[in-house]
Amino acid sequence: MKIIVCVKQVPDTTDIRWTENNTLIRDGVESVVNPCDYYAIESALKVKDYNENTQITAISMGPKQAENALKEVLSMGVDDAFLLCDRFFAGSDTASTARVLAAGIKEKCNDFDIVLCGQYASDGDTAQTGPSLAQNLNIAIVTNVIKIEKIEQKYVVVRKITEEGILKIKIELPTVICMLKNDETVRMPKISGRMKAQDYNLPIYNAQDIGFNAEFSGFKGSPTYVKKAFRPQGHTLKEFYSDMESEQSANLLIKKLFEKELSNE
Amino acid sequence: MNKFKITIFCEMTKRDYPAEVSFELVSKSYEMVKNIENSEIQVIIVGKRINYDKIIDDFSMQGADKVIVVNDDVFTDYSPSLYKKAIVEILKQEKPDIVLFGATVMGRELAPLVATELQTGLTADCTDLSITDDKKLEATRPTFGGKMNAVIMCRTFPQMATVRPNVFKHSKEKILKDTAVDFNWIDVHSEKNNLSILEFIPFEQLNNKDLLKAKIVFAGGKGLKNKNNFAKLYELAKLTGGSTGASRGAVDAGFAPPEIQIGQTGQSVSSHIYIAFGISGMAQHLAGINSCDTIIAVNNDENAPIFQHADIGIIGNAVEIIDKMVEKLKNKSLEI
Repeated sequence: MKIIVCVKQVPDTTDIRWTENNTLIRDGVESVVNPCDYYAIESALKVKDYNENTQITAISMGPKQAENALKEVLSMGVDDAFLLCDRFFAGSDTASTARVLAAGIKEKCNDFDIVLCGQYASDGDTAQTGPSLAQNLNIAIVTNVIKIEKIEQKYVVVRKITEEGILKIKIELPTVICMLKNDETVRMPKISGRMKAQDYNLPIYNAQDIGFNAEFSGFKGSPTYVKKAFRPQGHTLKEFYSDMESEQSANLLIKKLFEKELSNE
Repeated sequence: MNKFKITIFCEMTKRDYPAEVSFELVSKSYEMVKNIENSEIQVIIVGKRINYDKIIDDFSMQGADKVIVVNDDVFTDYSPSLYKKAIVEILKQEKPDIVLFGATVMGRELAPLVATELQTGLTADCTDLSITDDKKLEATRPTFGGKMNAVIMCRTFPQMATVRPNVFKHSKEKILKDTAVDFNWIDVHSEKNNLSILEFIPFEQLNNKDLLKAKIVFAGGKGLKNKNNFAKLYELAKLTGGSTGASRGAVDAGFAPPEIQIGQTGQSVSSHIYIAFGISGMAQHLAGINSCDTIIAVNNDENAPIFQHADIGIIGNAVEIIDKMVEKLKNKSLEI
């Protein structure tokens, strides 16, 4: 069984601050492995736990420093990894990111059964790159997966969560599977894994290496672009009560409920 | 001059009726094309043989000019590859300027397949749409966990977007257009259906739909500590005619079912009043409550981020306060 896992390095969104001019402060913001991607990695490692004859390759498109994200997942037990890195890739939207990933997979991974992705990235949260990648590879797709239940030679069975319930789906291989966070515990790297990752000579491929026409990526090659960005107009604290008894708080809340109800009738 | 066309994908639910967001998109599109001469709002329905009369009437009332029905038994269950094929073929015939999907689980999977095959751009999970003077789509979406909004444009055609449910309202005025219906047959046999549904376990019909429309929402987080405490919110909701929601933390901890999760990966609510009990206020959660009128936060941690996004803040023991509220509402012993 050959599994490819797509990993994205993202800024730590719990650590985002604003300047006075409402622009994001990016300096000093730490980069981390996208949280959902850990669950994709964990699912792949679970397959390997049961079937030693499983080869897991992690790939990422990003700047040189995204090496760190790949080393992190290598230390967890992933077998191989490579980075797709080219200045022409910078500024790619989901459509062109998916094109680059597909080109990298086609060129550098001989054959594969499953491509695992995190359902969404914590920075962009578009959840589009996985499906778009499946379309570029012309293989099956299943998203919003909470569990891989069964893996056979020709198919997998997964649990997918929707607004209406949980679907048990049988899907033919090869396929892209987009994993949600779930209740599995993501394993910590072992020291031996860290050492292995440190010594790993991580290949970095540019557009030419994967036979990709860089015109179809980056700011210029992406079909969408950001016209402007602004800070959302949020709610601001108008009343603050820091030392009320629960009794008083309950009264206040009920009063607010009635006021609001009356004013909206 | 060519017609200016907006095409909306209508998602059918298990109840054989469109998802609410499909109507919201038609209604919003109707508002957007008001000042555009020679425009057309189209709806694509892909499904099996059912009675479409009522559905077409309901779309007509929101302002749809044309409903295109692709009807075949192969579409009984949702299949990404077959649905994609049907939609792509229709779009190739119709050549719309704009294509909209609901940002539902299905829409977020299907729209990128369609956009990729058509080699066009797609903006995800939008919370606002507008059309510029030169008739381009401006799609606004939250990013960085709701901490920033970005306005995204598309260079290619059709310009595509998925739109979050419950951010646009149904039109209240009944427009009643003379909607044309076009039954279409698309040969999808060249496309392989590579999945089959083995089992469907429906969520209990709790109050998912009520939640989206609720005027009062009581939401609980991990701060409620256990499932029993969380269940007190159901009682509060019952006593006041409100609904109950949960943060991701409460769902992950098993206090609440996933269908009432509020936030970027759950539902968006737009209630008049939203009371968050024991919710710390991760950006993921805040993204789902932005359009509520009044947000009240009850938390024992004065540094909880939720207070920076609330109109009213109360420091206190959430469980105790809920207990008192239930007691008072039951006895109607309110001193104000």
